[in-house]
Amino acid sequence: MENPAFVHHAVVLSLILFALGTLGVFLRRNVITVLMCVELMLNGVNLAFVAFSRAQGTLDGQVLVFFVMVVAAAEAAVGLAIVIALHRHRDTLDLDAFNLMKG
Amino acid sequence: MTAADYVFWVFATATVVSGAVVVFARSLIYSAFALLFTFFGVAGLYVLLGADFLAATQLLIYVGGILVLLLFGVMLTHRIYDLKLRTEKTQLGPGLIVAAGIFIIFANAALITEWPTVGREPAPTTKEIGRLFLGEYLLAFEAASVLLLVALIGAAMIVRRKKDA
Amino acid sequence: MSGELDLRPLVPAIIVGVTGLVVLLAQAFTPKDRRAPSAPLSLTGLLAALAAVWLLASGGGRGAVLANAVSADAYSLFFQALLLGIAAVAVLLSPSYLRANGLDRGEYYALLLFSVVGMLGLVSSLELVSMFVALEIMSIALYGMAGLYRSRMESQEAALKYFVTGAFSSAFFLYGVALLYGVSGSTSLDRLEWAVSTLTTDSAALALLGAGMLLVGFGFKIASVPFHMWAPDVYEGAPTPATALMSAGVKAAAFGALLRVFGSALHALAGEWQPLVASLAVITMVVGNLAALAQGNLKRMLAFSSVAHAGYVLTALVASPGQAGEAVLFYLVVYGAVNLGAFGTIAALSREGREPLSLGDVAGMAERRPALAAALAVFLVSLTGIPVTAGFVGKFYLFNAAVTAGWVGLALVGVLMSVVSAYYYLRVVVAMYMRDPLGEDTWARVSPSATVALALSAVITLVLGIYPAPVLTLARIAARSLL
Repeated sequence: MENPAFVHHAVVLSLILFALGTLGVFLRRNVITVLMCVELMLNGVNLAFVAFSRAQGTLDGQVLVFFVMVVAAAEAAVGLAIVIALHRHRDTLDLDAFNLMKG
Repeated sequence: MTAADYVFWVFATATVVSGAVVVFARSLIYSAFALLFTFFGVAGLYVLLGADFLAATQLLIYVGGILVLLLFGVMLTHRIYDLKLRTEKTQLGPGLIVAAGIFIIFANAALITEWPTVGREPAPTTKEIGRLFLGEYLLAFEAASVLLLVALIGAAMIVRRKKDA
Repeated sequence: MSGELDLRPLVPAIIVGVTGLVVLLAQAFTPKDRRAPSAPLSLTGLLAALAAVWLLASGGGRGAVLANAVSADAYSLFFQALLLGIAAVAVLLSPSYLRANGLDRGEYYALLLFSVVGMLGLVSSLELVSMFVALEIMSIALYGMAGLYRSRMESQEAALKYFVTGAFSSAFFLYGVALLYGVSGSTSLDRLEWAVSTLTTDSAALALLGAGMLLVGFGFKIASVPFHMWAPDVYEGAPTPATALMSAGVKAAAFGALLRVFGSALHALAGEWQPLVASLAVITMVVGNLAALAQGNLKRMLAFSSVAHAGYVLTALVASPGQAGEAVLFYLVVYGAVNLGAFGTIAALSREGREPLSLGDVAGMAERRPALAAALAVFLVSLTGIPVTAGFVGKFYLFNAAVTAGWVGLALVGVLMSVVSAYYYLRVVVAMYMRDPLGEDTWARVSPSATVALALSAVITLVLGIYPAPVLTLARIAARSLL
C-alpha cells in the first residue's frame, strides 16, 4: 500500500491547503473565518511535515506536527477570547469595522 | 492504480474541496462544517503516509478541540438562526495574486525536486514518537507546557468582565 | 538523548518563569483591599535572572548546551542580558502608568515575565521548533498585554490586529521550518547548516523558499515593510509600557533569532537571501520614514520610526556574519535604551487615562519639566542619529558594515532616510523648546520608579554615544560565537 508518489502529491496538496488558507485570510473579513483559514494554513504545514517525515524516513516530522497542534490550540483559545471581548464592545466581527486608529 | 491510490485521491479531493468551501462559503456555519471535512481528509492522508497515531490525534485535537472552540465562538457571537452571517468578500485581486503566486512557485519547486524516498515499512509510530518527545524534543515539549499556561492566563485575562478589574 | 543533560543554559528563563508564577500567586493571596507587590517581585526576579546570566558568563557555563537545543554561548548571554535589562526598565515604567489608567493587576506582570521567557528562549534556541515554541510564548503573552485595556476599544483592536497578523505570520514561519526540514531532515541549526552547504541545485531552490518563508515570519515580528501594517495600530492601542517592551524587546529578540538562523545556519545561501534582505531594508527604511512624517500622534510616529529602524538594522545583515553581528548587537542595545526612554516619557506623564500624544501636548515642556524635556530630546536626537548620542555610533556601525560588504547604495539610502527622519523627530524637540505651553500642565508627576527608568535610559544613550568601546567589545565577542 506504500506508494512513493504519495509524498509528491501530499506536498503539492499541502501547498494547495496553505495557499487556500492564505487566500482566505486576504479574502474574508470575519474574524472567526480568518481564524479558520489560519487553521487551514496550519493543516497545510502539518501535511508537509508528515510528507517530509515519510520522505526522510524519520519520525521527527510527525513529532513536529504535535507542536504545531499545541500552538494551534493555544492560538485558537486566545483568538476566541479576543473575539468575545471585542464582541462585547461592538456588535460586529468585521475586520474592516475595526478602524478607530488611522494614520 | 491500486486501491490505496483511489483512497488517496478520495481523501485529497475531499480535503481540497472542503478547504475551498471554508474559504469561499458565504455562511460562517458552512465554513465551520467544511473545516470538519478538511480535518478528516487530512487525517486520512496521515494514515496513508504512515502516521497512524498522528491521524488519531488530528481527529481528537482539531475536530474535538479546535473546531468545537471555533463553533463556540460562532455561537457566542451570533444567533445561530441569524442569516446575516454573511461577510463581504474584498481584496479579491491582491489575495488571488498572492495565493496563486505562492502556489505556482512552490508547486514548481516541489515537482522538480527529487524526494529521497527511503523505503521504510509503515510500523506503529507511538513508541518512537514518545521517545523523541522525551529525548531530542524534551525542551520544546516542556516549553509547550509553558505556552499552554500562558495561553490560559492570557485568554482568562482578556475575557474577564470589566467590573472585576 | 543526544547531548548531555545540563540545565544551566535554562536557568535565567526558569527564574523568570517561576517569578511569573509567584506574581500570579501573590495576586491571588493578597487581600482585596491591599495591593499585591507585583512590580517589586517582577523586578527582583528579572535582576536575579540577570545575575544568573552574569554567573553563566563568568563561570564555566559558557558554551553549555542542553540536548543541542539551547546554548549559553556568548551570543545568547549577550541577548539575554539585554532582554532582561529591557524588561526590568519596562517593569519600572509600569506601576505608575497602570495606576493612572486603572489597570493595576498582577496578571499584567505575569504576562510580561512570560513574554520575557519566550524572548530568552528565542535568542538561545539552536533548534527551529524550540525557537518557534519560544516565539509563540512571547507572542501569546503579548496579545494578552496588548488587550489589557479592556474598557478601551483601541486596546481590544490592538490585541485583535496583533493576534491575526501574528497567527498568519506563524503559519509562514512554520511552512519555512517544514521546507527546511524537508531539505535537511532535521530542525537543528547545526544539521541545517551542514545540509545547506551540501545541497544540489534542486533542493537549494526548496531551501531558499524555506528561508524566504522564515524571513516573512520574522519580517512580521520585526515589523519590516511590507509586514508592518499591524505595528502602528498595536503600538498605539496597547498600554504604553507594553508598547515600550514590544518595540525594544520583541525587535531585539526577533533580530537575535533572525541573525542566528540566517547569519550562521543559512549562511551558505547568503548570496541568494542577501539581495532579498537588502530590498526589504530599502523599502522598510523608505516607507517607515515617509509614513512617520505624516503622523500627528506621537505613539504612531514612534511606531513608524520603529519600522524604519528595523530597516536600518536589516542593512547590516548583508555584511559577513561577524561584522553584521557586532553592528546589529550594538545597535539593538542603543535602540532598546532609546525606545524605552521615548515611550517611557509618554507613559510617565499619563494621568487618568490620558497621555501626551500630540505636539500641542508637549509644547513648552522645556519650561515646565526641564529634566524630562531634556531626556526626551536626548532620545529623539539619538533616534535621528546625530553625533554624540548612541544613535549616531550605532548607525555608523550598521552602515559601515553594509559599505564594507560592498553595498554602498544601501548605506546611502540609510543615510538619506536618516536625514528625512530628522524632520519628524526634531519637530517634537522644537515644540518642547521653542513653543509656548498650551493650557495648564495637567500631566502626572513622574513617579520615582519611572524616574529611575528614564534616567537609566538617558545615561545609557549618552554614555554609549561618547564611550561605546566596552559594549562594542562585548558585541564583537558575542558575534564571534556565532561563527
